[in-house]
Amino acid sequence: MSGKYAIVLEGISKTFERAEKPSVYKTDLKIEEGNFVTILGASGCGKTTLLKMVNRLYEPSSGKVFINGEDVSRISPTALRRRIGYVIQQTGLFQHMTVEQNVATVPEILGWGKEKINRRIDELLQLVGLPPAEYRKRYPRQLSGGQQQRVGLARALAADPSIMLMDEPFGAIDAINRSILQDEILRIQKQLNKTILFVTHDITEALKLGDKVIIMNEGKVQQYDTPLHILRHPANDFVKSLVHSDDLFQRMAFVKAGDVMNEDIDSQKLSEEAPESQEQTSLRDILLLLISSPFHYVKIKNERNEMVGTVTINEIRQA
Amino acid sequence: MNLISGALLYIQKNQAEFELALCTHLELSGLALLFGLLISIPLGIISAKNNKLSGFIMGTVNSLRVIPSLAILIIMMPILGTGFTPALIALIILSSPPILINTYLAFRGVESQVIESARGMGMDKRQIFFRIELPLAMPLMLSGVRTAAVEVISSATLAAFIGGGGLGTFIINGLGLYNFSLLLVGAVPVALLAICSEILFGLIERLATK
Ligand SMILES: Nc1ncnc2c1ncn2[C@@H]1O[C@H](COP(=O)(O)OP(=O)(O)OP(=O)(O)O)[C@@H](O)[C@H]1O
Ligand SMILES: [Mg+2]
Repeated sequence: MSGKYAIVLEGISKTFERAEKPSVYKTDLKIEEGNFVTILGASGCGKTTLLKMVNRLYEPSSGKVFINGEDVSRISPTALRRRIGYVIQQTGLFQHMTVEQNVATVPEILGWGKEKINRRIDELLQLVGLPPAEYRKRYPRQLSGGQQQRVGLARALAADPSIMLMDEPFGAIDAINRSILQDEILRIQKQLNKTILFVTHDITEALKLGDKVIIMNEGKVQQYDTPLHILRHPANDFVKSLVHSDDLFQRMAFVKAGDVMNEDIDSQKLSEEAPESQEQTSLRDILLLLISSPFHYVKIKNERNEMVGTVTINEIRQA
Repeated sequence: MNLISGALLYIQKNQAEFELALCTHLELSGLALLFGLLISIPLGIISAKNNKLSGFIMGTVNSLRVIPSLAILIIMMPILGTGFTPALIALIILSSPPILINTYLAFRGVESQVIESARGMGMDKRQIFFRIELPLAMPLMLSGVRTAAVEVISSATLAAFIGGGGLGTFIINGLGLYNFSLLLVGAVPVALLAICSEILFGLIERLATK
């Protein structure tokens, strides 16, 4: 077991007491360090159960879980959980504590000094976009749903865990704020290089956030692959129908320009006036740009605003 | 006006007797509340956490609530005789429904998601109890204690019926002698005590919940 994998599941299964069939069937998974992995599936398919076996909120009926190469059954559950960030939907915040007290929870349990905790709170609130001066002393009920979830995120990050488990953290948040939070979590994940295991039942969210996506159905992993691969080569009919991969227009919403662009830009003569877009932009938006411009290509730029490729109707067709 | 001056005069003349009655009343109420807390809060917490026990305990308590205070005091007599101790026991029983029921509801009311997220962050059982459950349950528990305190102070008046002493003695004697001044000597301090405890516990509640 090299240190290359942050989380390894070996033959993990879970059958609850008095249940007729397993909630999670024998599963093997390896999650690389620094990867953002989303778990996608319908309600009741075992996403939460799978997630909770990682931090021993549930004990597996069979199999082993390794965290950074360490067998979790050899670590005490409380010690293990203090090393793993955990965020759940909605009300996970402690209503009787202020934002700063909420964020300080794990550092306090770990016995950090006052000064260090204080600095950490400011740092984290800044990171999640809540100016400390304004938000430290507030109670959760004085925050919007989106702000509460930011606090939840800051709290989970407090002791700087290398692994984060997130169970539908944006499930109860309106579409606009959800999209903003998705961008933020992507930014934070890239910035801090965390390994994230993120449960959702929103396909768009799973494909947008995941470096890789685990698709589950009835307790079994159907496919574990990159979004592009899942869209291009769905492993079975279930995945196919889930991602509507027959529907080109649907599919275009999930494929990013950066994944399919023509990177050979030196041989092309590119016009100053041609439309531009980002690597992260979906092909659907690129198509709209193409239709509304006289040019037959869209220039694609990276985060540093450097030209990295072009997309024409040919690239879109092949997606 | 005559009634009041009569009452004041009585207190002045029988200062020792009045003070003793007041002390007994306070002692009776205070001890009843103290024992009530010590018994009912743990029972309430146990009921909230254990479904099997909760049906039995809550059923018993709810049926207790239906019995009037005086009846409980009178029922105590043939079992335990008369005097301070039987009165105390009766008052402890009286104090338990509001404390127990509110404790039960308060702990039941702590959302399972909150506990789960505390567990998920690596808190152990003790930490979850003292840092999460207890503070979240506190406001509702305290309001139960406030109700119990007022109930105990007013019901302690009835302790005089079974020879438990306290301010109720003046009321019984006053009624017997048709001496309304004497009646006031018992009734007014009891009312004042009840109001004071209401205010005091209200304050504690506010401080604890802020
Ligand atoms: N504590 C439990 N005891 C018994 N059965 C459980 C328990 N938790 C989950 N299950 C069962 O296991 C199955 C998977 O549940 P799980 O919570 O993992 O689903 P999920 O994919 O997270 O669903 P959702 O999207 O609704 O959260 C369900 O059939 C559920 O009823
Ligand atoms: Mg779930």
